[in-house]
Amino acid sequence: MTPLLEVEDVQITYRPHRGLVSRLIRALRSDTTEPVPAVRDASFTINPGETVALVGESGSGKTTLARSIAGLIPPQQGRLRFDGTDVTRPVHRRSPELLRHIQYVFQNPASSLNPRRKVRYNLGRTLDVFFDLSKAERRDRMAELLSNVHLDPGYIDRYPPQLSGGEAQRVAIAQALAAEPKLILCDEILSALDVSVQNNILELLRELQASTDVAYLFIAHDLAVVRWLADRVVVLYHGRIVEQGTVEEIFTPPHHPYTALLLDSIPGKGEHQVSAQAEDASTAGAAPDAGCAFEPRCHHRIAGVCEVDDPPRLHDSETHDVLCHLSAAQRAPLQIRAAAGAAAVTSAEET
Amino acid sequence: MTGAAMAGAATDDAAVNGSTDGAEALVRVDDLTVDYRNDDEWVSVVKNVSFEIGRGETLGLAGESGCGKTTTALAMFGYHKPGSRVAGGRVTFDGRDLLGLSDRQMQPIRGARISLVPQNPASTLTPSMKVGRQVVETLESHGVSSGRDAMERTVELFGQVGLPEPAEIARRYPHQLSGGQQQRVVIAIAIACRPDLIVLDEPTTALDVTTQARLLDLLTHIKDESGMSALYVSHNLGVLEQICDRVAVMYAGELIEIAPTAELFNRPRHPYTRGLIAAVPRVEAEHAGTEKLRGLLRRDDLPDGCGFAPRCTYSRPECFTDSQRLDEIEPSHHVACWRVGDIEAGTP
Repeated sequence: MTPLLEVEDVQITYRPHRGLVSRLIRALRSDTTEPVPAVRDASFTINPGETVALVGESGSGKTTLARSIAGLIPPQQGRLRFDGTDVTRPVHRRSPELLRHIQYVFQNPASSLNPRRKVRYNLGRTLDVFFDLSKAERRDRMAELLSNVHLDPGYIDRYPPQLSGGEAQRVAIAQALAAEPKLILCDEILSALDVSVQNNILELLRELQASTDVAYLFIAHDLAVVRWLADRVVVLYHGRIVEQGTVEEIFTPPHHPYTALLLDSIPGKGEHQVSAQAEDASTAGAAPDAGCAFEPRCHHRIAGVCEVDDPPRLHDSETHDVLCHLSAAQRAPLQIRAAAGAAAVTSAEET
Repeated sequence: MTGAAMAGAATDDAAVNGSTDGAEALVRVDDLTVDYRNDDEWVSVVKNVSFEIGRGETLGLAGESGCGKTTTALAMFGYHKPGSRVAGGRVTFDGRDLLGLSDRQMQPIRGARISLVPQNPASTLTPSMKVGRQVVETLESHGVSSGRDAMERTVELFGQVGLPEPAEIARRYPHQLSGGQQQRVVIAIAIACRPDLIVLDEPTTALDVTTQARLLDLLTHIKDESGMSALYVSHNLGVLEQICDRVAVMYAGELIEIAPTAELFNRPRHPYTRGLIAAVPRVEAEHAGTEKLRGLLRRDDLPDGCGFAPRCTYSRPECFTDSQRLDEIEPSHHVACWRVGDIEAGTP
């Protein structure tokens, strides 16, 4: 089966401003640092009708990657293929057909809908851009779209500010569906919503996938939500894919130490293993110049190795790979330790 | 047929739903009702809510957006907001009725004895003022300390909330800090005057899961050390489960269940609480697909009786007409649902 989307060795760097003033300021500060890539060597695929979750903390490059797939940020290196054809080009040079097939739903529905125009206009615009419909067809299609996302037809005459967060997000999803896409990029679409509303949206996404066979790239930082929805998971840390695999593989040990940290961070019973003191907030910011990016925060680092050499990509299985110096056997105890208690989280691994 | 749970008039004895072992509670909320103005009408967004917070206790307040949990929490700061009014009830803090106090009388209490950690740290801090200065200002305005002493205390506080290089951070502006660091600064301001009560309104919602985990550990640590009481408002039950001693659940302005945390999570009794707990995504896969919540909280479509009746799997015609009262079904476990017994037995 040809994957729907292939992301191959993508690298994206935000270039500093090249204007005269900016260059002058940098020269005066003798700032010669090269910008750090926001995404490096990212390779993964999405199959038709599949849900791939992209997880990681803020600043890990999730949104950057999704935007480059949408053509909003061109990658400096690497290839993007959609349905087997190369689409590594910015959005203004993409065919209308391609634009239609990749849709984007943003985190904050309030800011992705035009607040001064009714739902009718917001939905209708997408239809007008991509399809040539008669008045009657257009009206029927809009009613159908609203019913697809479980909203009453009456919502067509509401203004976005009159909608609750969950309703607005449904309209945003309907807007994406209006294009009849093959892939929807869902960028933290649940973060602004209540737990119970999140649930409704998750079920809606599943239902729509079953009926239209649309694929999702689902960006989230909440692994518990991912467990519910995704077929496969890609874990990003500082722009690198540190682990990817099927949902079962990601949620069963051996984990990448960073995935183990994310899993441990899910709120619920008991103390977290990584205490407030042990994990200094400042280390979350910068990545070291050499070695593994996660090394400063890792409780299982191998002294003399992790801070020096780039970690290898280990293939735990055909579908599961991990970017880490620790072998699968060395990583196996991570989960057991997390359960055993904070005292066990020491660097005994270093031997 | 009207079960014991439908006890009639407001019994005003010590039935305030607390478990403070006889000792006088720090906060006592009695029959609090708050109205918001909607055109020419007053609409009750909080209805006859009663609870206590013991000294050193952390009470969680859970519910969906619009259920009135934030309105209830803000009652700890008195109510003088235009467009809203306290239609009834009392909030007693350390023996004083807060709702009767003027803004001027509230001033020495707010920030010093009761402090707030709101949802969005970025909008709480003054963008044009160094963060250290903002803590100093709090200390000085409450006369706790001033000048060099206040600055030293600030650095000490920053260390306490786990900020790296506290003296250095104190000289930065809010935009030079990450979201998690900003929230730590806000927490430092909140605990600066060693308050008796800290009100936390979704303090971690805007943050990453890993940052959230660290902040929750920090809050637990601070609480254990200082012995202050806390009211923690959140829609995320996982968070409440981790940090609270007791949890109160609100629906459509009413308190519908309150119990010690372990009890509430192991044996939730109200159908809404059961649905809410089932809605929390869990990593353990077996949780998926249990009792789900149907529909949404619709304020414009509330029956006279139980507010949850339209969404409830167990509702009977009586539920739509007869209002429910919180009833102690087990020691310190209160539920406002007359069908609790049937639900336990699984009779729809």
